Amino acid sequence: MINILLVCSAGMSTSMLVKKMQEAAEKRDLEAKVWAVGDSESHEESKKADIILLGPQVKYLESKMKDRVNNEKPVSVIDMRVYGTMNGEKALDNALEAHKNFNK
Amino acid sequence: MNGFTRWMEEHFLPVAAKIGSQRHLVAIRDAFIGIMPITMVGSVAVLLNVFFRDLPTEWGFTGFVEAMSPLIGVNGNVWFGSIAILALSFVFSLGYNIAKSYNINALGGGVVAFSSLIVTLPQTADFSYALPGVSPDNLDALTNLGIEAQIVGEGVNIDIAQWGYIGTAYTGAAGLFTALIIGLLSSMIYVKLMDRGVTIKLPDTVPSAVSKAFAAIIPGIVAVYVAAILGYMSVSFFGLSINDLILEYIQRPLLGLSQGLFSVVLATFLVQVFWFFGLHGHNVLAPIMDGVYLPALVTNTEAYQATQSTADLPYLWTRVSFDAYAQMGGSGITLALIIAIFIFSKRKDSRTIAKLGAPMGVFNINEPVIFGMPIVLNPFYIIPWLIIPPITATIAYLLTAAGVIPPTFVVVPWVMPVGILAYLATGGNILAGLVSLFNLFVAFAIWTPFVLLANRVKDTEEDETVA
Repeated sequence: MINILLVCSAGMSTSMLVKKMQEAAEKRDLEAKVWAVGDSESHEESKKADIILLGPQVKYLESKMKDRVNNEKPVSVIDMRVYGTMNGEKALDNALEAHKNFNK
Repeated sequence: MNGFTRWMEEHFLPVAAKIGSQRHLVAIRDAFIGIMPITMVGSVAVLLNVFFRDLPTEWGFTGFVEAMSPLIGVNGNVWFGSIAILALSFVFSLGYNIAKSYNINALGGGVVAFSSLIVTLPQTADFSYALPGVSPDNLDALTNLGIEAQIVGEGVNIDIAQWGYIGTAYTGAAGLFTALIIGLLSSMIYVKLMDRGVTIKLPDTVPSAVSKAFAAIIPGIVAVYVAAILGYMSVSFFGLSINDLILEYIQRPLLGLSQGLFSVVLATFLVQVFWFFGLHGHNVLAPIMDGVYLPALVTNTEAYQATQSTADLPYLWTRVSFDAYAQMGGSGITLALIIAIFIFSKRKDSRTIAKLGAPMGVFNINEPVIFGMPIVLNPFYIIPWLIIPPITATIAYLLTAAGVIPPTFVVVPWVMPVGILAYLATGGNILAGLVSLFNLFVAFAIWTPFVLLANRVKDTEEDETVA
């Protein structure tokens, strides 16, 4: 089971990517929980996540978020084109890779 | 172009990022988002009365208006509990969000900020009562009886001051800046003292709700007392309540400053610049957009409620005007870009993005377009991207200034489709809806040459797109 948290600004478009990523995970029989919150709720929610992904429109939060989780969890920014095309497969790939690399 | 982009990324972006994630500004933004239900319910009440009362009255359907009078009364009550006390809801929301951002008992922060605002409010109300059937000749007799009366016109009035009132003049839009300043001050005192541990500590065996409440006692006392002393000093030194002081010397001048065409163009332009670098322009600028243009909007709402006419609305341009005339389909009026792509584009990648972005674009969500095309850091689309919203905003601004369309005065959620948003925001003005559609067409006309140009560079960019 892997917990993937998406952090964005208003949560309007990110929720669609969440759905696509969830579908991609189901297709692979991968047990994953993907959810999205706004910046202000991310404080509490980041504790439950295994990896934190930032929407490209809030990439400026990257260093703040890394501090917040004491660099104990991977924090990465979703690739702009992947986000724009709502490519759930690719976003999931990137997330899993970032998670793997971090725990190496 | 590359040099410029790099320069901006090095110098402009860090500043923008700091603003976008600055704790107090984020708290102010979230505080405004937090009172959204209240602003919305008040706007619904105003809008319903436009359709139940004001428009039918204009058309001469007095029978309909009479039949609707209970509903109209209910709407008035809803208004009283929402827009008329907006500053009170806001100050609570602000205190809550500030405390929350410091990870400190948020409810306590809200309650303390709320109380701190109330202690600064004027508490007496002055009534002037015209004594029926008393002529000015009787004034001396009244004075001899110890009644303070004065001559007003043909009659005699007595002035009565009563204690124990909170006036809507201080709790609505006119009180928003005071709520902001007092709310920030008091919740910061509260948060800092909590943080330093200046609290009453109870043993661990005490239930957490109780120990939390006790911990908040000292910080709460200090915060509320500071607000009360400030309020008292303001009255003794300036003869004005702190609310009047802030309204007169901060809120009015700032709102006035926001009303020039230059300010409106600059605001729309900056939103575009931030988005060009991939930052959420409206979020970064939210303290200005919400902090200045939202009070303008609510002041207009109040003015409409008072006069039931759009003739004397004080502010030309409000928060919702941006959404109505310069953000159709999202920042940059990308709905027009999507339409231009559907009609003219021969590029497969663009058409895919347009198809993906269209359903959301109708509701003014355009991240797929911004990041998918992409618009971000793409010199190809920078010209239309930066000029379209300032141009369409100028069109709507000038038409409003000329009195062709009324100013916006109803809070409408930004997800309303093009045309409908402007129609509702102006209290059912069809012309305003048409102006919004006309702006969409203007944007379409500016986007189109760039979409056609993109057809030609198809081959050279194809590889890059696939990679």
